[in-house]
Amino acid sequence: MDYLFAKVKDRRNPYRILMADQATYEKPETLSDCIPYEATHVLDDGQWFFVERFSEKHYCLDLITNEKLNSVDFVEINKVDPERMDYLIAYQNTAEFYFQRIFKHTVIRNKKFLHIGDDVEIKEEKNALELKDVPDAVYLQTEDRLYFRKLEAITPIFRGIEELYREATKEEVESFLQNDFINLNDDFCAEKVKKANRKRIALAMNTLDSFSKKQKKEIFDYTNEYFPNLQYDGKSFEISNEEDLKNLLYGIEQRLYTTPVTNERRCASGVFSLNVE
Amino acid sequence: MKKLYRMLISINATALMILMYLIKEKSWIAELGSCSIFIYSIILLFFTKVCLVLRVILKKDSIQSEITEVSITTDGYIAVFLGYIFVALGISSGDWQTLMFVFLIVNIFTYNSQTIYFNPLFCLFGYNFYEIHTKMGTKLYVISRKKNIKGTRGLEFKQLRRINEFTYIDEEK
Repeated sequence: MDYLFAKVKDRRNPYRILMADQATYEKPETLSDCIPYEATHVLDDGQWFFVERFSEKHYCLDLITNEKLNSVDFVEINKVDPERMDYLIAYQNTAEFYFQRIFKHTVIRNKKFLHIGDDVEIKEEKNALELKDVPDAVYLQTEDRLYFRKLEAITPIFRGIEELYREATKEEVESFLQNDFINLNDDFCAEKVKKANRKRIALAMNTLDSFSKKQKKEIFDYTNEYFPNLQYDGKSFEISNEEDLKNLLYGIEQRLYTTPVTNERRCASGVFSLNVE
Repeated sequence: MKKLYRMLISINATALMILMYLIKEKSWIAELGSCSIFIYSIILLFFTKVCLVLRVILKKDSIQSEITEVSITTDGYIAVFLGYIFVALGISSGDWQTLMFVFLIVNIFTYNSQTIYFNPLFCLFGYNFYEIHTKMGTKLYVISRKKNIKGTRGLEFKQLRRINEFTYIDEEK
């Protein structure tokens, strides 16, 4: 039997049964078009990221590791207040879980709709939730894989999953900017680093750690070659704004390349590895 | 709706008390005399049937994974059943106020207690009362027409209706 649960703000009974015997979501057709999660990859339309062996991860939910669920083990939701719900979990075909976050804009309060069918009539919706066509995340028990499209959308569901891709903390940004190869100019400092660059710094820190001194030098020369405007004296880059920092971080991530035939210089906005493990 | 239904089956479960009192008082429908007992009984049975049919308004539920323990508890409710009869017989003649008050109190307790929804009259329609423990440690009561439940192997309840958090009624046979 298919169930629909809601996660509510309640420590003792966080999962409440909403209804049974009706499928809520359809399995997305494009689920087979998927790649392992890579922070740097920008998904195509309909493409999905996945996390393998999800049940072994510390951010996996206890609920979905159960062999089979019984609605009778869950308390019913009393005063149904959509704003008290965090997300919906649909359990379907005894092995599929679908997740949808609930936001203020998905709650429909006191809205009138013109229903156009055999009869045209005005219908009033006092308290409803909009169900998305495509859920935010899908977990298939048989494959033990979690599929999702936007990591930010599911981090409140799977606490800790952000470790897959996170922003650098203020301290990390500061220590990154204090590296020898960076020369700060024009009062540019850690406070001025915006979200996008903080995420790139978190990645670049790991990348840099894996490089030897010689490799680092190579990277800096390569960056300089593609961004001649980024001042480089052979030892350090002059960073005076977000754009400079972004270019340097692109260089560290080796996002810059030249097309082999047309000889065009390019920067990849998203990348994923083609190497087969 | 759910609350109304719970109220209805609570009244139904205790209505036997009223029936007993009517018989004791010999309050017959005019001209029918003691044959009124049959009329009263038929009304009560009809009322019980209505309660059973109306379960469709309740939410669906199911138990499809391991049940760790099952036991039949219908016999335990004979005491409750006898209790209703003795109360009705114990009320002095013509004391309708006391009867109504006791009936009201018993109903409030039945309605608010999570498990005493069992109605002895359900037995006449082939229902039994089972106590079930699930793998997750939940203990619940299922009113079911299933016969010969022995052991938990392969035992499933696929078409339940939720009366309250602990009491379910089964639609399968």
